[in-house]
Amino acid sequence: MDIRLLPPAHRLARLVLAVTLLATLGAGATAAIVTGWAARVVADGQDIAERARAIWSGP
Amino acid sequence: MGAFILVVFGIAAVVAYVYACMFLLAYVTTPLVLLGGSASVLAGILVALSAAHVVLAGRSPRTEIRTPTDVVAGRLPGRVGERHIRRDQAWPQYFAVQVKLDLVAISRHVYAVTRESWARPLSWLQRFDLRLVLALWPLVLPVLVAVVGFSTGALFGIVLVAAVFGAVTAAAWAVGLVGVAVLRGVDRGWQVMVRAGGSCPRCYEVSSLPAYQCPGEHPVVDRQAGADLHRDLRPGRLGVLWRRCACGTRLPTTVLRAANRLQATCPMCREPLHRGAAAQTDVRIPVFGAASAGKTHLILASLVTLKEEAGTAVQFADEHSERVFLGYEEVFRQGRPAPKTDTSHLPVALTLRVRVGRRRAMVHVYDAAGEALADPDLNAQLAYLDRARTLAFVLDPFSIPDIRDLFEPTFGELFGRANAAKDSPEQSYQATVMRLRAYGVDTERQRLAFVVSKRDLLCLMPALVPAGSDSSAVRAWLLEHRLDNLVTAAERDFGDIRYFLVAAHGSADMPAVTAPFRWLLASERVSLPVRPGGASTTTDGPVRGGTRAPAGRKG
Repeated sequence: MDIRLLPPAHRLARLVLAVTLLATLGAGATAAIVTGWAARVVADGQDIAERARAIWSGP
Repeated sequence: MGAFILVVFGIAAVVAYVYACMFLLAYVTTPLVLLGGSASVLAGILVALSAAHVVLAGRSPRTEIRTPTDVVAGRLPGRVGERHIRRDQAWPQYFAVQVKLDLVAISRHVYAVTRESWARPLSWLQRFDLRLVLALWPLVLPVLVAVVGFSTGALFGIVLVAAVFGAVTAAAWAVGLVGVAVLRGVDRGWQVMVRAGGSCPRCYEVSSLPAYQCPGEHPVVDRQAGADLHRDLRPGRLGVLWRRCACGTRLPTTVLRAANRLQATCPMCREPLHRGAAAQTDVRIPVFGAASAGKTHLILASLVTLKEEAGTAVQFADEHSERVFLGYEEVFRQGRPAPKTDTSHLPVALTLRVRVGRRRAMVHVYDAAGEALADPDLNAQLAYLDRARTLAFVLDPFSIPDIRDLFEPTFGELFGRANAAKDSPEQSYQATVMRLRAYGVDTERQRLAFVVSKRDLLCLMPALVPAGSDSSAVRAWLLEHRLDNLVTAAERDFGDIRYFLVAAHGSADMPAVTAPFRWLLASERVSLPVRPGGASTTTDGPVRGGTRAPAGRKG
């Protein structure tokens, strides 16, 4: 059935669902990227800290 | 020697094959599995999401749509009240059913793609010898991993879509249920507060939820079949704030909003109801009494006088009422007796639209022939008696046996002019009240205006006129004339009763003919204005006092 024949409320509801779906996907992707970036920053920080400790404690 | 060489070549071939396999596994299969697997999982998710958007955009021809025709056919969950016969021909709310059908369509779409993702590689591999395929397993493995990854991704995508659909649907239902409860509560609360109802002038059905006619374009066949009627317009699965008729017209979902926008019809006989039905105070006043007691005259005199006094506050609600009223007015002005009420058909209500301040009311007056009221077979059809909160009983003083026996021989000419009722007052009263009781009507919750008519003629026999015009004086007069049984019965039967003595052609020294109607309307919180110098101005002033509670109420 042509979507134009559907009542406007149905079209609006479908639009809301589509937007929510995209927003959820976008939020998920963003969360994954941010989490990955944060994990990397933490790992780098730990690495730097270990090196600093090694330099401080001497050979 | 030959066998040895063959064995050496065989071992070398196996070693070469294992080496090649290990090489492929390390440099081709593993990277392909990792890359292809991830890509295929992502592709599966994207396929599910794109399928969702294809369906939501209405581009999927295989999506099942729940149309108004399906709704009428009963393909919408939920209970339908017996009074409403079937669901109305309107689009169902999206989150009531269509969201589920869309999800099913998305799942089918994804399932079809996933099945194809398995079928194509398998049919391609089937072209080759199985042994060759097995031998080339390091090259086949990435393909299998890709297919499995795609299926996993598609499944994950469907779960994601279903989760989003479920969350949005749950939110919509939560908001919708609250909206439905609030709107229905406001509708019902208003109706109870103002005592609203939709009275059918023909079949006497009183409905709190009339059927509403869609103003949109409907084929004549649909109109005749009643397919354009919305029998249950309340908020629900067909819409919370608004609903969409099959013809595309947007309709309000509450009685309060529909009352002045749509044509209400009786849900039983489909007779058009008055504008504002079921949203305005609805007062039904049946007038009963013996034939020739003066019921019609009381009604015509009261209504003509009320219209005169109230001015624009009282209007006719329909053409029939206006026509009848104009006839009444002519009779009243010329001082002629009221025409005999037709016994051949059931009475049609005479409806007035009353507007006092912000209060709007519909007043229906029912005038049945005395013969019909007295006949148990005929009065069974007068269903309006059952649904009235207020009634008026008209008693012809010339039909009281005590008066008739004493004065008819002397005042024969006057009795002739009075066209005294033949039936005794008690008989005419009991005929209607017994009918009410037989139909289970709790008369103790009803109000009765006990009207003694023809006062103008009664005044021609000075010895007979009651001492006063107030309720207690009229009551005392009735007791004096040995109607104590009738008075006791009336006070026992009805919750509230007041006595009136009126004349259709009142003069300044006579009480207002409108007093009974005014009292009945006041009990419904409809107080009509009195125009200074109006016909109701009397020496007695407004009727007050004398309202008697029933002598012996039943538990």
